[in-house]
Amino acid sequence: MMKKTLAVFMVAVFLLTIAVPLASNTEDTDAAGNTIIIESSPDFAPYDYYYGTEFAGIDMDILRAISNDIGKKIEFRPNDFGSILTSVTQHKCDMGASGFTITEERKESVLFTDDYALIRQVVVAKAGLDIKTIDDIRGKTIAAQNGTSGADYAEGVTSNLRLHSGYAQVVLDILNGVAFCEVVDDAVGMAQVSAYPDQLAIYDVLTDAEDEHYGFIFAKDNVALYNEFNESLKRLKADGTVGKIVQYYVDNNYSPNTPSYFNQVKTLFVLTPEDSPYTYKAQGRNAGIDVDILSAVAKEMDYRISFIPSKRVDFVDKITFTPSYIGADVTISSDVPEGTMFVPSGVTDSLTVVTRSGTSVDDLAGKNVAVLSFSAASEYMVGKGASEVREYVLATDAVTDLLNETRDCIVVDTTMAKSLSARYPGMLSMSEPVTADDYVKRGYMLSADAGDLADAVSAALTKVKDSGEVKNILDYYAGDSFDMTQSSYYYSEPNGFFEKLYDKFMKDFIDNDGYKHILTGLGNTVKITLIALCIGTVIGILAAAIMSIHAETGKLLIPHMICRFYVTIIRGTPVLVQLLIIYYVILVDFASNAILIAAIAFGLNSGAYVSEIVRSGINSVPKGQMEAARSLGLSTRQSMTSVVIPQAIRNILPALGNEGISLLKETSVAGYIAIVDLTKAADIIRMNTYDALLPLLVIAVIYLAMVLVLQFLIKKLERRLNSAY
Amino acid sequence: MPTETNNPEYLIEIKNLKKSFGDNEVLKDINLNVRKGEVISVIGPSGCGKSTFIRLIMMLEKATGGAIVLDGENILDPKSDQNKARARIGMVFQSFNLFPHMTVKQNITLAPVKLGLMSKEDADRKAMELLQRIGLADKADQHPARLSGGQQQRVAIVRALAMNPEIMLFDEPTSALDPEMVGEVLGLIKDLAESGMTMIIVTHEMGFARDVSDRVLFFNGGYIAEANTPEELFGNPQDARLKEFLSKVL
Repeated sequence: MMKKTLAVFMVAVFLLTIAVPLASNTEDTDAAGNTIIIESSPDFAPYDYYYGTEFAGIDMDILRAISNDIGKKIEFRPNDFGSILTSVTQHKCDMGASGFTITEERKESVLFTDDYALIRQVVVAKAGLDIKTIDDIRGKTIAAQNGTSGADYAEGVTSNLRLHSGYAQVVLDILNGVAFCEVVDDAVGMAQVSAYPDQLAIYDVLTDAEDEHYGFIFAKDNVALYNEFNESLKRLKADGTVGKIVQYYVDNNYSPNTPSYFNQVKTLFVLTPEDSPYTYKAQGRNAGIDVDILSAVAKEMDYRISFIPSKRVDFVDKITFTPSYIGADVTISSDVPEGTMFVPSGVTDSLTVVTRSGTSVDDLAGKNVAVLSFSAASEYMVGKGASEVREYVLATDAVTDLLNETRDCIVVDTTMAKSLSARYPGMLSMSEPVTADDYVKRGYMLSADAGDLADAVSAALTKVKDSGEVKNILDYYAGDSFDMTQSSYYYSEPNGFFEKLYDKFMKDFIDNDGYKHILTGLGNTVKITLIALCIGTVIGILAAAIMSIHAETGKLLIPHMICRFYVTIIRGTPVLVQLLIIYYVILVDFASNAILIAAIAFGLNSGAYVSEIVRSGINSVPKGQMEAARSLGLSTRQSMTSVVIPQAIRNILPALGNEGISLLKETSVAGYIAIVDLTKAADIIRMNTYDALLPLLVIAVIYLAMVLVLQFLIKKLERRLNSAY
Repeated sequence: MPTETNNPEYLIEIKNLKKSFGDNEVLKDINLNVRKGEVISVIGPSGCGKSTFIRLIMMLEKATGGAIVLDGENILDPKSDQNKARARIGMVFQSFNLFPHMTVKQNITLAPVKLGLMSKEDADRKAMELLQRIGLADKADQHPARLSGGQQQRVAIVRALAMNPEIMLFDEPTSALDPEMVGEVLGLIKDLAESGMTMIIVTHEMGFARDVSDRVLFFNGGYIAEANTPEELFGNPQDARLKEFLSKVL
């Protein structure tokens, strides 16, 4: 029984040792053969970040454009910023793209392409702080990402430096109050602020910071590829492609919620004036009638939706420049601006006259009237005999002028009128509507070139209307006097601990496809652990057998010394150091299969411990067993394999199981060599959402679950072996 | 150095055998010739080196000097195939040393099959025959832990016999047994002796030694202090130390 179990185990070990690396190898030959591997630290919006599980950002999109231009496939691989340079010089990847500032120092080790971005260092800290000059941050605790210009700058300002391997930790330091501020590239700071508009702010006080330029990096001897990329980059800069990509991210406020420039067809980009019940922000989130109707439309179309704050005056320019944009909160007028078209939302409104509280205007003739730009009121005022009709961009300015009696009244959409009454309680009076209920026709502005998009939006809109959803949305907002404080119909502010936790959970794992990172990570962790376990078991038993045979007979002196040396080195140094040495020093030019390298490193590590365990197991078998076997004429090796080791393994099974469990947990440092393992997956989610609690908690639970399963299996096997004799 | 002789009269010739553990010289100069079919008992006080002596023959210890010639070949010579020599010698230990992870039958068939001396089927058949002979056929598929001490030791003897050894060594085969089980084991050894097996037995059972042996050796001080037929050795001991020893154990 024992023998059979052992045999099955050994065969399984053997097969896995062979099969798993092969399986992962085939994946990689493809990649290594034709594909340019690009390493990036995807916590660097707007340059490099994950949008869901897709790489997005200016760097990524410029490289995609280059890839199209030169006809070569590219593949992005995440790594810590501080490790990418070494990775490039050692040909672990073909190039690096992660907002590398071009410096003389870096030029000594890598080739830089032409620059593609210009940035300056700024300070990001909590919003509302009194930071006016650089002296206000001197000596404070400053966080920065390791190896960045920001870190260099911060070093000159303070001695209390907190250096992190990723920006997620940097931002968390500030949000948690551990660090006072960070020093960071301006666009990256803006992206961080756009993720935390209420909590973070940019303080542009580093007046002595020099302009910096970003370039892509290549190994010094990779000249052919470098030239190819650099020439293409020059072309794409000249023909405006790079400019378009950068502008796209600028238009999206550098928000890390922006999908790749090349993938935007799947997103509705909605321009929002954010100043009326149709589009506004409540607690930092988009809300409003049009926000919700378009959200429903996007859902119907199976699109994502992205809101871009924009003034109405800029609508026409933006929409004609980027035909995928949709202007929301628009009144449909008879003269259509050139290059655009309207899509009616079906929502209609009347006009109402708003006056100072206690006054009223029955006849508009001779009156000094305020109206809002781009509203139906201007058209309505034609022929009404008013002494003056003044257009205002901002409703609040119109109200100010009404209240200081510069104007007699405001003629405005009834919905807006209600909203203004709510915002200025007791200060305004409203007339009965002065027009029919459908006088004002609301809708959206699209590019004249976006016929297909317009058709798709109209079709989806009809479906949403027919389903009664538009009415629900209108009722929802009407119920609260349009005071522009209530959150979106589709979003209820989480209440209480569990609702907030659920909200975070959805954000971490579902909304941004975070669970996919976890699955990838889990797969890699299991893969690494299994291969390492096989390697470790084989090496460990072999080394133990050699050392025991030497102890028994004095033979195998040289192999014995090699084993001793191996065990001493491995047990005397940290596994992470071994991993890095194997990755960066020993297997330098080994194919880019980091998972296999990690498995080898952890296998070698585990082997040393397994060998000590097996040796102690061999010593635990009474000497008489060996003597009896030898006296029957069996050789030392036969005696070992048939008599001693089977008994030894039974004795050490709990210890071996524990070693397997340690191994599983130790693989959590694999992220250091650009592998997305379970721990790294949590890191990535944290980079995206800046939430540390849930991702870490979830992977802790997964690790625990795997350990418990292992323990259960070991217990079961032990019981089976025990019953054998 | 003694030269190797090839006296066909002797199965084993032991010449000037020496063994030290560090500074402790346990065996100083042992010479012994064993004829085929001869049964030799080794007695002596504790620490006299009698166990070391047969462990040297089995090459479980490394001799410090001397020669053991088996069929004309000095098996202590590093050039000789010691595994092959071991296969020709059977040994039974004080503590049985059955393999606990194997059944009784597997214990018996392991070596013959592993060494390619018998097919699995032949080994199985032979094991069952031997077990039949000692009345333990019904225990064939049990693990040793289920057997009494006496049964285990008998299985251990049968395990050694399964290799068809030319000589059997017994290292105090009954010392670890409860008194009521000593008889069954000694009985089996006696049967073996009568069947013509060449044997060297280290024992404390003086009566048994007198009964079964052709010759009895008394070890003392690293030498064979006295060697004689059992009648002479027990009846008319010459060595002073032997007399003292016998007075205590008899």
